[in-house]
Amino acid sequence: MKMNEPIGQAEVIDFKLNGEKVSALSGETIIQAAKRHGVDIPHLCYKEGYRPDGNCRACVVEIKGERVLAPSCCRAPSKDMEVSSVSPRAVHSQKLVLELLKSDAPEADLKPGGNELRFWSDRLGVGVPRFEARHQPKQDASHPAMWVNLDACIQCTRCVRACREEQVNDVIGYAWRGSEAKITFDFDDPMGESTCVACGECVQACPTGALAPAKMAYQVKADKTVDSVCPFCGVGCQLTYHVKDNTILRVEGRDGPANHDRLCVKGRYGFDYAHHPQRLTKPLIRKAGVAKTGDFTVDPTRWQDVFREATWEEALDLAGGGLKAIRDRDGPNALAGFGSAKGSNEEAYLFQKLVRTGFGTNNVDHCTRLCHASSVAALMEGISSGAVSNPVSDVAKAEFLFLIGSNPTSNHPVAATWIKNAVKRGAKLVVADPRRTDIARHAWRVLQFKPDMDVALLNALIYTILEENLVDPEFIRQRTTGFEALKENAKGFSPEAMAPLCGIPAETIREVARAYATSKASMILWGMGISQHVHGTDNARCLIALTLMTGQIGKPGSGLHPLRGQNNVQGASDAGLIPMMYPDYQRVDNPEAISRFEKYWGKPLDPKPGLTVVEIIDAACEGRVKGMYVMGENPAMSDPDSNHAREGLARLEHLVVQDIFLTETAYLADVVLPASAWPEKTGTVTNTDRIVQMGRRALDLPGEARQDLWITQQLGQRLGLDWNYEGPDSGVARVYEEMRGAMNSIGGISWDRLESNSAVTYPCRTEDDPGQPVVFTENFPTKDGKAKFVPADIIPANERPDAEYPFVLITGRQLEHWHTGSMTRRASVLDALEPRAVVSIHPLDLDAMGAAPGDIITVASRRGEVALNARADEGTPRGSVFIPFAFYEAAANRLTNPALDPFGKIAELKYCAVRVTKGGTLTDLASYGGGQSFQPA
Amino acid sequence: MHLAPAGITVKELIAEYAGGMLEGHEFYAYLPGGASGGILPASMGDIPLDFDTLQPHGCFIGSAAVIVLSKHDKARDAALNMMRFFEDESCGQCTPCRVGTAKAARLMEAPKWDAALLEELSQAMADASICGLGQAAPNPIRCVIKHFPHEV
Repeated sequence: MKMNEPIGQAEVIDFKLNGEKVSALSGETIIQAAKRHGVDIPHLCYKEGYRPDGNCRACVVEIKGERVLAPSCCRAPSKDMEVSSVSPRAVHSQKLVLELLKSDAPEADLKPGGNELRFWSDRLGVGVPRFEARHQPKQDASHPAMWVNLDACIQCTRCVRACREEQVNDVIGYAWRGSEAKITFDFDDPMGESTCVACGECVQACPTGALAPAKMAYQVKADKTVDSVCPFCGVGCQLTYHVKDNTILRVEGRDGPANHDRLCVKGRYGFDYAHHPQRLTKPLIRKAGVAKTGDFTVDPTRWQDVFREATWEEALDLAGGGLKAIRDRDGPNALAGFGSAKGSNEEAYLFQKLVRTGFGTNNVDHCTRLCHASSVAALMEGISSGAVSNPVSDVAKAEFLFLIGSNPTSNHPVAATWIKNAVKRGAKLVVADPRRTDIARHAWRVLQFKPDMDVALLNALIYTILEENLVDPEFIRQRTTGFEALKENAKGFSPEAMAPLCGIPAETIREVARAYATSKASMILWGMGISQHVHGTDNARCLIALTLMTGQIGKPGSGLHPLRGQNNVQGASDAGLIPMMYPDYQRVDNPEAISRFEKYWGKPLDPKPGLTVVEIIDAACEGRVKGMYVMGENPAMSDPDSNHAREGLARLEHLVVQDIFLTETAYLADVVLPASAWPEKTGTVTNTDRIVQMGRRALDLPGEARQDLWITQQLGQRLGLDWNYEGPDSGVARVYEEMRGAMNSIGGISWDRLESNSAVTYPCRTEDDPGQPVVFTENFPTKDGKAKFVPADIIPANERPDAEYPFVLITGRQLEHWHTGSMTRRASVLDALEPRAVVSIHPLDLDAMGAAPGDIITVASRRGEVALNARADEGTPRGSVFIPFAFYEAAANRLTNPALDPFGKIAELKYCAVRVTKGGTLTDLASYGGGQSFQPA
Repeated sequence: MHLAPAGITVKELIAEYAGGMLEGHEFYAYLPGGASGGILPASMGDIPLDFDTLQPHGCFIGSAAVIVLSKHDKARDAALNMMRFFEDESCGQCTPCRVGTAKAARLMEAPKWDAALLEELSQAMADASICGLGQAAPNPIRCVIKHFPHEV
């Protein structure tokens, strides 16, 4: 996956290096071969994994018979070549190059401990430079995350390659010439005003600190570094925390299977939420007489208005006692629990075990319901497996990529880099989405179809493949059932008939269908644009059908990949944090599974599937669910029709919320339990590629906050469970091993193995099984081993625009903010970059209502309204608006429609009718966000 | 622009094609091949100008843009002028040329040259630059040190 990894290693070339006979592998350069033989050649512009550029000339070597020296980073050895990296002539130039660069370097070391110019200068004994220094450029401190210190720049262009070739953001360029040559952002703009997306890859690439973390973060030496994994999206990037005095100084990317050192702005710069002054550090109990109402104003700094501090003993007794009382009085199904896809696998496992054995109900769910529930429903129905068939990194092996309903540069930024790399390599990318997002500029074809018309578009693709006989008959015959039904159903969906509905010309649909079906390897990747509809399951059924009818599944570079949203949404679902399945997707109404788990857990279990997220809230509104335990979820912000959700939560007789901040949901709690941020605990998470990865504790807990696993165990004890998980970090290893005993899919992934490897892919049955990144190569995990075609018809959105509400509202996320914003709006850099809620709207729509970018706009649906500033965006289709759901002050989910997909029970968060008018009054900024915690140094 | 046969000497060129030195001027030095072809003293004005005839003297015919200096000129001024030209022309890609031309020009501005350091720099520029511009840029320095040591 490295960009200049040796290709094939069959051939070996013998050559002479410094008088010794050595061998190079095919594709290796001199510097790489030398390194393998223990010879370190000085280098600055060369970085392993990057395209060698050969510009610094610190790595020059003498090759016998050649007029000039050669850059060893670019040059491949040939047979019997005589190379010297230590001849006087070679060393003279190596040292002089270093001296020239050193003469222009600032006196202060801007990257102590990591300054490669200093390292090589010292190593080669380059003393005080004899050349006069250049006129030094000024510092650019315009960006909240990074400072540009061009006085330390050695023009090596590693940042240019990081930005253009690795992350493919194309912001940094190399401008001017001669000694005036310098790196520039866009048109030589200050970094903070450029189109930089702050992935920080350039900072990680820079050898001298010319690009450095803001506020001189390099100048503080860490006490320790801790290898962990990113707490944000499902890509699962491995990272290293640099910690001093229990504070994270900075974060660096690590060479994990999903990211290979890469990170995005959230992973690299979104860490200081853990140190925010609003962290909950003591248990809180609702004050007597403070009423619960769905209509409240959140101010976490004024928690005393609602709560009083309590001891852990008192809080846990009240929390557990309240739940127990309801269970004993009204029965187990009067209770429910929301776990979290942001916690670890162990937390998810223990949480669902608590609900199932302590509450005695299957009413346990989490935000997967609002994420990929419909995708999983279709996948389980069609191929009996809810996970991806191929990792994201397989795009490197694909010829054709079909990306639909996904905005990966914002939501899965590092995954997007692999997609962009694949396009640069020559893969054809088709982006299908009602919004034209950033990735579209890399696409071969952009299908900006009309919102809600997914099935029309996808069935037209299916129709074309059938009509033009582009199917894989052998695959269909041997590995699928139900093809006749698909054929029959497709008859009414010719591209010509669907073009007016979906807004894509028939010939384009046909062209895309041909390219998909006939490529040697095609991948389909999708996001919540597919799943968050009342026809989400149908959308996914069509995608699965496309893979099956063309045989584009079950081989490298060929398969399907629903991009998972949260860091552990795959793992939490795997661990049974869903109402119809025990761990490993064993159905709760399957007698065999019931008896297995009754024996394993030593408790009787409810044989009826429980309620899902939206159903639980409805049941709370109706008084059927009276008590809830919510861990790390924020349904008051994340659930559709949040006014309704807040009313439901307010109606609960007893609500226990376990979180790190006083969230909108916690505001309605009877007991608030202060929990652990991700860097404060050890545990495993499973990424979108099915890779189980180890997160390690880097920080101590603030105040009296406790690890989540400990809190759940304490509540378990108060519900009469006889749990005993001993060991460090709240017994996490024991919990993991118990979970593994219930899950065949991870049977071969022991805690010890994860401790030493950090990452193992499942399915992995035995300790020596390396794990399977690509599945379904021979058969599908269905009873007959075959996949099933399930045809889909057009079902319109639940709420179409009309005269009163003529616009379509699409909700989602933006690059800098995560979920309901409780973490990212308290991360100073992320908050500084996107401080306030905005609504994206097409400039012509804005113009039509007489408004300008930045003006206040009111967006109203039948369920609520919000006022926020307008952002002109040509990528938003006419007649639609887009609002991210992270902002309390303009909560998008006050507007959304809770209508459900009948199979996945996912709400239609991507489509509802709204009215958009100029004007309105902004809600006052909360006591966080708005750029408040970012203080320029 | 003159069309002259290959192998002609600079002295012949001056006399036969350029109408001789101007009044009050005496032939002092010449650049046989543009900015990077080196600088030679008048005493070496009988070398045939052709491919491969100048190499033994550290020079080359290059573009055959011959520049003639008189006693009123200084070879070091011409060399500095050339180096500033290279500094300006350098694309900025590689260190020996990008930084080397700039540092060389500063060193060459000194009334007394640090000949040892300039030679060290010249060697690295000639050996380690990516393209011919940086590799040939030190030629004027080396020629001045070799043929006009009294100037620096």
